[in-house]
Amino acid sequence: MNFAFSDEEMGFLKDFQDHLAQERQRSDAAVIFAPHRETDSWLVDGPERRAFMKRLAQAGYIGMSWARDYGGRERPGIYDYLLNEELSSQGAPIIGKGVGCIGKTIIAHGSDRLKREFLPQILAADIEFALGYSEPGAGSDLASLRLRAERKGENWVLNGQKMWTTSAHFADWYWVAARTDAEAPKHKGISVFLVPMDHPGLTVTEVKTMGDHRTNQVFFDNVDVPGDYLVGEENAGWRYVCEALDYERFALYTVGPLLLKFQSLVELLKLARRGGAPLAADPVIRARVAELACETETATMLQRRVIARAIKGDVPTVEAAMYKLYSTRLGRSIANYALDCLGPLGLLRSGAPHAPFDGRWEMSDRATVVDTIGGGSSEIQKNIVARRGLGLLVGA
Amino acid sequence: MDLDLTEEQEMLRGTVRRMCESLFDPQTVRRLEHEDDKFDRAFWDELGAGGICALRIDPDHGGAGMGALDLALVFEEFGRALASSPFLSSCVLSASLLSRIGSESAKREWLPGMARGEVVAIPAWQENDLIGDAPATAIDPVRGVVNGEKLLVPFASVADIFLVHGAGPDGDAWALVPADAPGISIVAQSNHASQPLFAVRFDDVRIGAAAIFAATEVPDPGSEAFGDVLIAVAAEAVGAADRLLALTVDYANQRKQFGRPIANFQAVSHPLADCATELEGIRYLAYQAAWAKDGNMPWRHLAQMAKLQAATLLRRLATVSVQIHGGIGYSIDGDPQLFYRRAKHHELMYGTADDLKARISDHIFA
Ligand SMILES: Cc1cc2nc3c(=O)[nH]c(=O)nc-3n(C[C@H](O)[C@H](O)[C@H](O)COP(=O)(O)OP(=O)(O)OC[C@H]3O[C@@H](n4cnc5c(N)ncnc54)[C@H](O)[C@@H]3O)c2cc1C
Repeated sequence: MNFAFSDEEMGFLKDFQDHLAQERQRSDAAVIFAPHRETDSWLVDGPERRAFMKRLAQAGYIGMSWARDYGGRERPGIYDYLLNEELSSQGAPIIGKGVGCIGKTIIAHGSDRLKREFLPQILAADIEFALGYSEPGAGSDLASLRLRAERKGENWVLNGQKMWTTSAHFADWYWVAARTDAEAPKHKGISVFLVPMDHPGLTVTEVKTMGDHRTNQVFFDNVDVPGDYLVGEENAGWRYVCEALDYERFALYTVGPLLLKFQSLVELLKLARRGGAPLAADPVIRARVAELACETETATMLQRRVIARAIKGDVPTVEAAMYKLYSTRLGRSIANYALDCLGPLGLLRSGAPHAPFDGRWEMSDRATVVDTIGGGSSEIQKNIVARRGLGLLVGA
Repeated sequence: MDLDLTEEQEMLRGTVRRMCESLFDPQTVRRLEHEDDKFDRAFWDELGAGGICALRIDPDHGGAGMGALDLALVFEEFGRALASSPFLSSCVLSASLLSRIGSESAKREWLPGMARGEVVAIPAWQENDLIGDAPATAIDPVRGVVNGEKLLVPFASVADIFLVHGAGPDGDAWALVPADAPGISIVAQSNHASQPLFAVRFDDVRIGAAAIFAATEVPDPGSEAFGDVLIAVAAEAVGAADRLLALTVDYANQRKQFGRPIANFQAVSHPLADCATELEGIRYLAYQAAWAKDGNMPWRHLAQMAKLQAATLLRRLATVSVQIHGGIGYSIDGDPQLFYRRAKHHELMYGTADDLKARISDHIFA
């Protein structure tokens, strides 16, 4: 057993940290490194962040684990992980779904034409994607999605609606799951398409959230898609969607933001006072912080299990479910506890006079709400642990 | 023993419920969040005209002299509708403070107007004792001058007078400061639950010695004057929880995933059953505290328990409700977020959990 990364991995990480240290000297660094943005700090949603990703690409950091044939560096997946762990720890955008699930699915199942068109643009960080899975009637039960795709000659015509598409308002391409066979069982009639986000048949409208984080509804009105932009095989979409999630294991399961949150709580307790004494001196608070410290360390172990399994080339489905379940709940507990410690002043928002820590915890308590809902709710994670992990005979 | 309301109490509840339903619909709640004053004049006028503002003010000063239990019923309705108004600040806390610390002439001058809802009296006591070295508010009883800055002052922008707590040379004092006195400046403090909270600065505000009273009542949840506040806030949280529970039950029955209502999943139904169970206990905890206060029995620790439990439950239920609503729960369009944000407000204002727990265990071990 060895909980440490290898010298080679640590050397790689050191080089990358140096690259980021350079980046932090830039005048636009505050836009790129923005941990206070919480749950959407990872988005490549502005010109500064796009340029940052392009510089990462030029420095050779994009596509670490892709095969050389496709312009990658053929490094083990752990390198993708190390990059995203560092990026997310610094509140910078992460190397996202283009390199992860979308690129890898195209490599595994896409036509030569899709490979030629998309892979170089992904490697160069030229394009951003939005992921269109969820619909008003299909959230946890994703496979019941109903966006209709009908064949018309060489083309497909898409009609219906997607819900909760993060990034749709700035992405270039839409990775969309649609129903191509309404008669087949629900998992067997889904296909995946690539649609340019500026297609005139698409209407993107904003959905505001309590985390000040924009997501979108997307309406499809006779959106014609050339046959070439159906990814892989017709009606094999559900398999690709599930596989794609597995490709994300390395990229998605970082622990840095959680550690950062715990550290910030500790800083808060050293700085803030109650009745003249630092909060950190209060035995009741110390006891609770000790609990949170234990839980943070436990979360780190659950995260190490995901990575360790993924390193072996296995699909850590249950490990990932456990980590997501545990870490998202903990993140919310930390934010909530920070507010409890700050007391009434903790209610003040960023910009309000006397807002402690410029309202970062006030924001955190709202923003982290999504963590136990999006990307498979806590209840769905528990179902995975119960059924796949424990072999419990649970339904749905 | 019986746990029923009297006919009069049922009528009071019905009256306030109708007022809230007709004047404080969900659109009003949302509209106010974006306004500067966050004050609904029509609702306030109705509370004044309907005699509700007079509820806890004594009959000698224009009040109705009704009980804490009546107050609890009113706040349960406010909570259900998320109806906000200066009631808690003016008709409960200020009225209670002024009755206890004020001179007879000050009471005669202000309480009748407060009882009619024509005067909005706002207590201002919170300061930044958390971070930094802001000087504490100073009240000079000889020259009759107030200096300092108060934070999280509710409805300050529509106040007619402030009751300001501060330090004087011979101990703490309360100063009665007309809101139009020169030297007062008011800045909005945007906040978690989009409530009307303001920072109010007093720069050499001259009010005269007659408007300054020794602080026999301290502004904290152990004091006599705060008793009604604890009961009112507990009942408000109970009302909000009641409404949130009902709308979450509706949603769980309507929303289908995997071919059935999500209510079918015990992961959804059981947390709601837990919350419903606690809610029924806590509702009566609040009533009992009010009943004990009305009957001159020991009530203080009961009121502290009620506030602690009710606010904690509202927050837990709001977390459950948001979760059950999935993405809708997180979106602004959904109603649960309104409750989720207000739940934290309820938890942190008027006695935090840590503060109340310390007082409750002091009582136990006394
Ligand atoms: C801010 C935000 C960004 C998002 N971004 C994207 C995106 O970019 N692309 C995308 O495709 N999607 C996105 N999503 C959608 C997200 O994945 C869904 O919200 C999530 O899957 C839950 O679906 P739902 O909201 O429809 O809730 P529902 O599925 O309706 O769930 C409601 C409740 O029922 C519970 N429940 C459901 N089924 C079961 C069961 N079998 N057992 C026990 N409990 C159950 C759930 O846990 C939840 O508590 C985003 C969501 C949000 C809020």
